[in-house]
Amino acid sequence: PTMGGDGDGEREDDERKVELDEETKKILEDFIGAPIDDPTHPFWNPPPLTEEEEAIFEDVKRRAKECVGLDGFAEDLLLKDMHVQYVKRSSEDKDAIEYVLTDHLRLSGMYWGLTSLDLLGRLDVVDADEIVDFVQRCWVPEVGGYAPCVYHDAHVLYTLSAVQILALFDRMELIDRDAIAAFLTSLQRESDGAIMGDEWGEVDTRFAYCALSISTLIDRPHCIDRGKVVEWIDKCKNFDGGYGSDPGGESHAGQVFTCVGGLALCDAVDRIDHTFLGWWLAERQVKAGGLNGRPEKLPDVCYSWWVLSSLCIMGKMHWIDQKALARFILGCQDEKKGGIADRPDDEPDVYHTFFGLAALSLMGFPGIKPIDPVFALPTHVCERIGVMRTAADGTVVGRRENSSTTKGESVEP
Amino acid sequence: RRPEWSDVTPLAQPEPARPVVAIDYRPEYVDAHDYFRAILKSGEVSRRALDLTAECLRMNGANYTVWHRRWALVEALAAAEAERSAEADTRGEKGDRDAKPMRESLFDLEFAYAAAMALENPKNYQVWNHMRLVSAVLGKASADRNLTATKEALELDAKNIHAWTHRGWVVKKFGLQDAERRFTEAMITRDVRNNSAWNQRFVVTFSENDEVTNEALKRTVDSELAFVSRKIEIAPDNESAWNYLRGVARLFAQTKEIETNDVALVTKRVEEIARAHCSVTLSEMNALFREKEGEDVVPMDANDDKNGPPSRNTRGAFSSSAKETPPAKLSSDTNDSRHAVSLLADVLFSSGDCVSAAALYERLAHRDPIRANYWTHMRDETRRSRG
Repeated sequence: PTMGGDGDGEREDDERKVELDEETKKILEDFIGAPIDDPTHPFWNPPPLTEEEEAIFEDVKRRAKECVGLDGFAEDLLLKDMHVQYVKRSSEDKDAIEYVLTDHLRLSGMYWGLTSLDLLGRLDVVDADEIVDFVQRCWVPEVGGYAPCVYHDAHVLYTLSAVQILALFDRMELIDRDAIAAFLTSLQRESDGAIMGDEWGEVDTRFAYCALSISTLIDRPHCIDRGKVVEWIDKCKNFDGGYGSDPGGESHAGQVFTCVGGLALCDAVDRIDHTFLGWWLAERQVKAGGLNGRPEKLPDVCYSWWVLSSLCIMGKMHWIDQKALARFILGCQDEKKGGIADRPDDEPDVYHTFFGLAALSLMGFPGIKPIDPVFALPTHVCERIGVMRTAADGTVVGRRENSSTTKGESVEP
Repeated sequence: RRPEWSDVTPLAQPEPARPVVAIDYRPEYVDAHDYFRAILKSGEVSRRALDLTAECLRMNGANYTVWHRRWALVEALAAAEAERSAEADTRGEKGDRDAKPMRESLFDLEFAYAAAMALENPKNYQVWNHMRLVSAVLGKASADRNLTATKEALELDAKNIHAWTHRGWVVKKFGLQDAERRFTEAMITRDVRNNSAWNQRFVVTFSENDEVTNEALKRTVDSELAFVSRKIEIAPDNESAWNYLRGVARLFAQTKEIETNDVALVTKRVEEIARAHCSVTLSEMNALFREKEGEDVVPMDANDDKNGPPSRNTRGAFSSSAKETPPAKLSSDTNDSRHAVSLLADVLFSSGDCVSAAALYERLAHRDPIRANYWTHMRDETRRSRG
């Protein structure tokens, strides 16, 4: 029988006739409320859709295409190979303007690109020895930290990136742990426990996170006074439930991640008001599905990570609409060049490519390896190192043997 | 290219040779940075080194190694100048009486440089840190300049978080909270959705201050509630204003020495503000709840008018405020501020009216499906509280 009104506005193939017995026919007619044999009946001749209805229908069709299956997405919606090629190209094209102008954060750029490749299972496309060699040339022995590039100053941000890259390639034996530990100790302010980026004195919760992550990854957790850092991070908690860059600093999703991740590294997530912060984070999602970084601002793919990882650590990822977020991130892919941009139709870059993939990984998108929300490293890397890991529902697993990071205690460095 | 640098051998970036691409800026960039690497290595302290850092920063303001070196040069040059003047004094020379002003003017010039760079590179962390270092030397004399520099940056981007953070540092260091409060009012007036301005207002109004008495705090809270209420009228869907209102209420409720009565009064006021932007009616709440719980939220009687305030209430939710609130709007809630409804739900919950709060959270789960799991979590929390 012809079944009109199935959405495409086209009728099914008229030739596909089925012989029905009387009983089946009655059941069908009862169900649809119209005679099967009468093609002139209004049921088989619905009025045409209005313009508004058409638009809604197109949108529904588009969304249906994007969501295949009950729980997941079609794996081929993610342009995996294109992203691999994009990252590879951006690391090789040393004459490109972006490359030349970003040597002050080269190691971080490498970390974003390399972790992206590992998440996609394609770390093999780069030359591991060449990269590790470059990382080691960024080591500044007089300071005990890594610079972002040769002839630059050492800084806690790039020390973390270096350790992360060496972790990816399983070359942790190259790290001078004692020297780094001494460097980190020197970065903690006596007055309030805050962490500076380097001797220049800038203070920010980002640096607290870096120091806590580094010290955990290199198994020197007490080179800084973790109790004091926890107290300082707590002071960065704001009236709206969020956290800022320093006490009084405006709540910002990026800073929230550094505080939540930092507290997790100190076993101190109980210092967070999970409901209040979880709500502030959930409110970052806009109707289009993307996430912003603070109230009344535009969504940006990088906030997919900062917000989602924080929610993950607190076991609250379900407080946002993950499907809508995934659709937003996928919509920010560049179909010609590969890579992911901050917003649909903008220029892609390695930074947003990484954070888009990392967020999709947290959501369990097929074809991407799992990532740890605290360390922002693939879970298998964290397992290899033996640090405590946080699963996708916020539970902490795999505590390291003889770990001395005890709950909230202030231990001497 | 640089005859004044003929005594220095530039150091190239240590990477394998690549074919040169004809991008115009690049030779200039490479040249400047090759000489920079040279002075970094040699540790040269000189005016030309300082000028070179400016040249490099003009091309890439985010290079913090150059900023580091620049600060080190400024300090070193100032120290050298101070030494020269001290020596001149001991020699009894009248010459360098302008030595101290010279040292300060070096920092004055540096402040002006940082302020100009802040306008060129507004999202750059380093320029603001540089300004902080200069200001620490100049002291309170730099307060006005700092406020002007940040104000100008905010003219370009009113939500520039670095500019606001720097202002926060300046205000705290030099004790300028009162003036800053007026500034935040001006910025909020310009754009009521400026979350940074709201944050700053909260920080300077309620900053840790041991001298604040309960009476003073109550007066401040009252005036802030009036302020935010007016701003909510302008844009009832403005997340920032509602967050501010919520923050003020929470702070007051959590201040240890405040009496329960006073907290209740403020809570009532907050509830009124929220209610003014909701049109939820009792009958709707009942209908919603009946579906789930099979009981009425509040007993209804035949005289209840859907468009009027509730006539009777035994559960406490709407009783005392019923007389003061304006007549409820028509039952369609599509114009309701979601933030108003969520704040009302939170207030009712914290006041102990779990039943009404649950109904509101349920409504929010339908109206705001993105965050449905949060709203149903809160609804379940109210049930847990009821026991």
